[in-house]
Order: sequence, then structure tokens, then C-alpha cells
Amino acid sequence: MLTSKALVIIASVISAGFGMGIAVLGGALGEGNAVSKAMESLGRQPEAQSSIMTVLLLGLAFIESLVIFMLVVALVLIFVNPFVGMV
Amino acid sequence: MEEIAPRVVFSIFGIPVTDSVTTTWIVMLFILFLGWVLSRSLSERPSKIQSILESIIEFYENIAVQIMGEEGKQFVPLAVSIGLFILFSNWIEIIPGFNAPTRDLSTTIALAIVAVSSTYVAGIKRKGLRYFKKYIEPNPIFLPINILEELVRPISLSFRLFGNILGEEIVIAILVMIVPLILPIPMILLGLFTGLIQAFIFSLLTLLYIAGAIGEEV
Repeated sequence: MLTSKALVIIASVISAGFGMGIAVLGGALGEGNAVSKAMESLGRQPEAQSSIMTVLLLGLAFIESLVIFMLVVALVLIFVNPFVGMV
Repeated sequence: MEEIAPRVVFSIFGIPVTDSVTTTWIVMLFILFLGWVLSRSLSERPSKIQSILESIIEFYENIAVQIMGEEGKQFVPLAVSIGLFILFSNWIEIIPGFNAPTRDLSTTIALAIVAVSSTYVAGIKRKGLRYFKKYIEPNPIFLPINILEELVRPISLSFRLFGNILGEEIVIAILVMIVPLILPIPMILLGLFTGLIQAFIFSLLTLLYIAGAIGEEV
């Protein structure tokens, strides 16, 4: 018989893992899109390489930060879960 | 995983002082020392290290002039000092025994508060009380959305930095647990690169927010 605390822990771990997966999926799609467009424009205008690289890295970091937000939520769920103390 | 929370080193009058605070002091002392040493021997013909510094400042000045014109130059010192502080805070973790202060949420929230409140200072200095008109800008109905947007800024700034540094560190810790030899080294190098990019993004966003505050239309 599962205690309610065990159920809370199971739910937290599962949601952390699934959430991370979904967040990484979205982030990967977005970053792939951004890099492919950057490659295209690099092929069209090779002389603009430096500015394209700067903007690309910046945009990638912004996309990445959305995934990182999910990472923070997952870390909270795993290491400092606020719901375990409630039951 | 007790390692994630910052260690309490000592306490003053019952207030616990964590290792992120002491590491912050070390970083501050290092930057002050660096500035003192490097600014003593300035010359017309720059040495190698002086030209590196000048190129950093020039890089930021170009960005500031690009986004807000000539008057943007007055905000360059703020952005560069925030950027340098975050850079060295991120990089200090490659010295064994030190933890990056930026993997503590308190440090990043403090930095974000400095960055966001400087936008208010710049905006109010420039426009006076008319600055607050931007909250009802297209229409008074947008007031809650505008206030929400304002509240989200420091949260996203601080969580971005915190999550990046802590996530990187956890990945390295897990890799060290599995394969302690050689394999973590590329990951650590990637962590240095992430630290550089995050420092740049934080200072660039500070400049962008200030530009939004003093801009004519926004």
C-alpha cells in the first residue's frame, strides 16, 4: 500500500522527468529552426558572418533560457519539494 | 544532494553568511585589484592587455550607441561592471574549493534588482513622472499586463543566470560520478563558454531595458 507521501514523491519525479523532456523537445525544435535560418543567411551573405554569429548565439541563449526555467522547476520538484512536507 | 544549497561559513549576530557571500567578496577584491593594476600603466601606445580591455569597452560602447544613440555611453560602465562581475563569478568555480556565487539564487536576484531598478532611475531621470505614463500607454486596459511584464523581468533575468550555472554544475557533478577521468573536461570547458555568454546576455539585457525606459516611443 502506497502512503500519500510516496504518491507525492512519485508524481513529482514523473512530472519533473516528463516536463524536462517536453521542454527540451520544444527548445531543440526552436534552436534547430534558428540555426538552419542562420546557415541559410550565412550562405546568402558570407560577409555578414560576425554579426550573424552574435545574433545567433544571443537568440540561442534566449531559447535555452526557457528550457532552463523548466530545469529550475524540475530541480525544485526533486530537491526541495514543497509538497512533501504538506501531506 | 546537500551540495546544491550554499554552505553556511559563519554567522554575524545570528545572520548566517554563506560561502556565496565570501566568494563574492573574493571576486570583488579580484576585480578591484585588476582594475587598480591595469589602470596604473595606461599609455597612448596600448600594451597587449590594455588593448584587450579597450576592445571590451569599445564593444559595449558600440552596442550602446547602436541601441540608444550617443547618450547610451553613460550606461556602459554599469553594463560592463555587471558583466565583468558575472563573468568572474561564473569562472571562479574552476578553481577547486570555490563555488560560483551565481549558482545561489540570492546573488542573481540581487543583480537583477540592481539592473531593473537602474532602468527606473534612468527613465525617471529622463522623463520625470511622465515615465509612469507608459503603463497605460496604448490603453488603460493594458495596465495589468504592463505591470506583469515589469514583474517578469527581474524573475526571468535572475532565473536564467541561476538555472544555467546550476544546471551546468549538476551535469558536471553527474559526469564526475559516472566517469571521473577526462570526460568531464569538455563539459567544464563548455561551462566556461556558457558563463561568458550568460554574462554578456545579462549586461546586454540591462542595456536593452534601459534603452526601453529612456526611449521616446516606448
